[in-house]
Amino acid sequence: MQPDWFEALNDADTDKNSTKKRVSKSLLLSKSLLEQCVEAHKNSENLQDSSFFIPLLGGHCESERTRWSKAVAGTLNSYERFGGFSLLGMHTNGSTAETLAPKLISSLTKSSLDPLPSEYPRQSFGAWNPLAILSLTKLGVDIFDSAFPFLVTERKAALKFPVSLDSESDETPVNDSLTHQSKKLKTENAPEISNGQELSEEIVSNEGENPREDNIISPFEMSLKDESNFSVTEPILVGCQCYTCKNFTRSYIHHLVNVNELLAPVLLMIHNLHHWTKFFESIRSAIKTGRLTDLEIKIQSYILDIYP
Amino acid sequence: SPALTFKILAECSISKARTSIMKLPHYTVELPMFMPVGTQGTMKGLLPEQVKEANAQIILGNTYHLGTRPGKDLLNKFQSLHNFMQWDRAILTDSGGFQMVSLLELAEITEEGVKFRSPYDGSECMLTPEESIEIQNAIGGDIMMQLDDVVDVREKEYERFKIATYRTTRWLDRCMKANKNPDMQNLFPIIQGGLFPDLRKISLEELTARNAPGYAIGGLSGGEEKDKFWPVVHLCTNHLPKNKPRYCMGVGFAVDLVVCCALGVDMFDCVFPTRTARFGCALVDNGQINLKAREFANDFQPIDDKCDCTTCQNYTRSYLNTIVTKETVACHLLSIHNIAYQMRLMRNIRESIKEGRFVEFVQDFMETYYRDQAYPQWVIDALAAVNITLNS
Ligand SMILES: [Zn+2]
Ligand SMILES: [Zn+2]
Repeated sequence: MQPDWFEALNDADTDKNSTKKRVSKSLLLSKSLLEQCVEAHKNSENLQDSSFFIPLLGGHCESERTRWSKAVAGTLNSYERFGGFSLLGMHTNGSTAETLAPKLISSLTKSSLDPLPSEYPRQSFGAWNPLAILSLTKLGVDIFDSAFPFLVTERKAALKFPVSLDSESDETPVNDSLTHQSKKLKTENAPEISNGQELSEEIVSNEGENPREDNIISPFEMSLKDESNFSVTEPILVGCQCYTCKNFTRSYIHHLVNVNELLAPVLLMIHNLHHWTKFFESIRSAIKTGRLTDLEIKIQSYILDIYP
Repeated sequence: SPALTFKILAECSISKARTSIMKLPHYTVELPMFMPVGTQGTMKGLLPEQVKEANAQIILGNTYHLGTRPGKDLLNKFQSLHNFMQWDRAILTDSGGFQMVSLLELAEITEEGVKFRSPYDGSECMLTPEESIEIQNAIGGDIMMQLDDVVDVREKEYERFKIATYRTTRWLDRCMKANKNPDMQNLFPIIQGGLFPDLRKISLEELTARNAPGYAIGGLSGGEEKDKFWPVVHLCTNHLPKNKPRYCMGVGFAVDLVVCCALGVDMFDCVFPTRTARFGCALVDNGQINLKAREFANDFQPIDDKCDCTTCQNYTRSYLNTIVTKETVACHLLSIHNIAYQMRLMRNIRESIKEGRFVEFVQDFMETYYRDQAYPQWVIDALAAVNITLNS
């Protein structure tokens, strides 16, 4: 494959429910795997141009995460093609990341990053929602993936949260369509209940075969399954410059969802990736102009409008 | 008809093949042509741009499905399926009757229409010729099909086909009367009569007397023997007006397309190219290949190095082998290739007719397709009927 970088093999299969014993086992195994990877990297001809990222582990235990990172910091000088850090062990992918409270993720991330030098890139993969992304960005995380827009697409929904600080932006969404939605996922995303505790998840079971995945919805998105889209001739997001919004109505996409056609996730993913990319453009420019907190407040107040 | 002009550009001097140009309200199409099926207002996950890039000139919509969801009221609100799905080329809609008889177990045909039980709420519904046209008017397709009396292929009884033949004429009259948009939407009658030449002749006589903009040959491709199939097509094209388009419904295998073109058919449709794509099959010169097969795991060629589709321009058989039946995108990529394959086949047919070498084209095509196998007898017979002899 010859990637630009790779993550050293590790046992990061821990989440909020993992026991202390499980976590220390994961660290022990990962340490040995890391050493073997470093050795294998040295000897691999094909990977001479690839750098490797060190996993930052420790499950949901702050002290374990700090301990691991301190140990990593002590060995950094001995690595030749070391490229950066990868934050792991907080979730087991899919919606297990999405439903973690931003405050919890932040404190775990902070305990991993504090002992380490800041001049290396840090990646944190998983379906972090926009507010979680912003918290991690503030802690100096640089690289994220598209798991969140993918999950949103999978449940036939479209991202709709504000992504721009520019108040003149015609992409500023209106909260119209969200008020009627019957199925919502409550997490501590809503700022007024943001207390870092276990999330409360409200699932209203519907006729779908897979009620859990199918019927949750975050406040950052609108469901295209919802009957209210039936005759709406507007795009998902008025003013959005993506291919889907420039060409198709909510009514048509709702129809595709309704008859279970393959084009539905294609059109939704085009919009969701576009929206996600715009979000990161805004994050970068907000950091440059020192307005990251403004962006966060804007998204928080959008959520507050939905969950008054 | 104000909604259709048809002009023959060239005819084969030996067989009945011809190539023509047909101007429809939304697009001018070249015949003979194959029409991919986009049942529910979309083509198996492809963007309209991709369908165009694969050179589709017209697509099919299914009236039964579209009439159920999203329904005629919404389509009326959007003014047409074209607007709803963002497809600016031509659309043809079926009448919904065939879909019902083949999909719904409880469908029953009466003089009034097709009676069926709704699969959604179990209520008893009736698709009349008038209702079919009302939905098709809402869809706004360039070509609409009349509701016809579809007889189950397993039916053997002459009497049943006789009823269907005459009823289809009566239903055509009701459809023509119900059409609210004749200036923009063409209504094609459907020749019935099963495999009985006398009934086919009656149907041909009655329906051609209605002076429609074009005609369809129905009641075939239902699993009948091929040696029963082609003589009916041959008979119908002998009696259909020369200056109007002829559409043989449900035909889509490459060999059948080539044979039917030789018999003088202009239009075809079939779900086969997109359906077979779902199972990982790609259409090639000698039939189809299944990309799941292990032999393609290390094959770094495109599906077909002569194919100009975006799939063949960008992906290897090896890559497709890794993703077929696992990733949805494999289905999209194979659909693109398979539609492009059908379109290229039809373009090659058209060009060979224009250049006066259709017979050679047919001979070469069959030789490549069957390679070292013997030609099926029905292919030999059907082509012999229009003076084409295959190379031995
Ligand atoms: Zn968009
Ligand atoms: Zn191709």
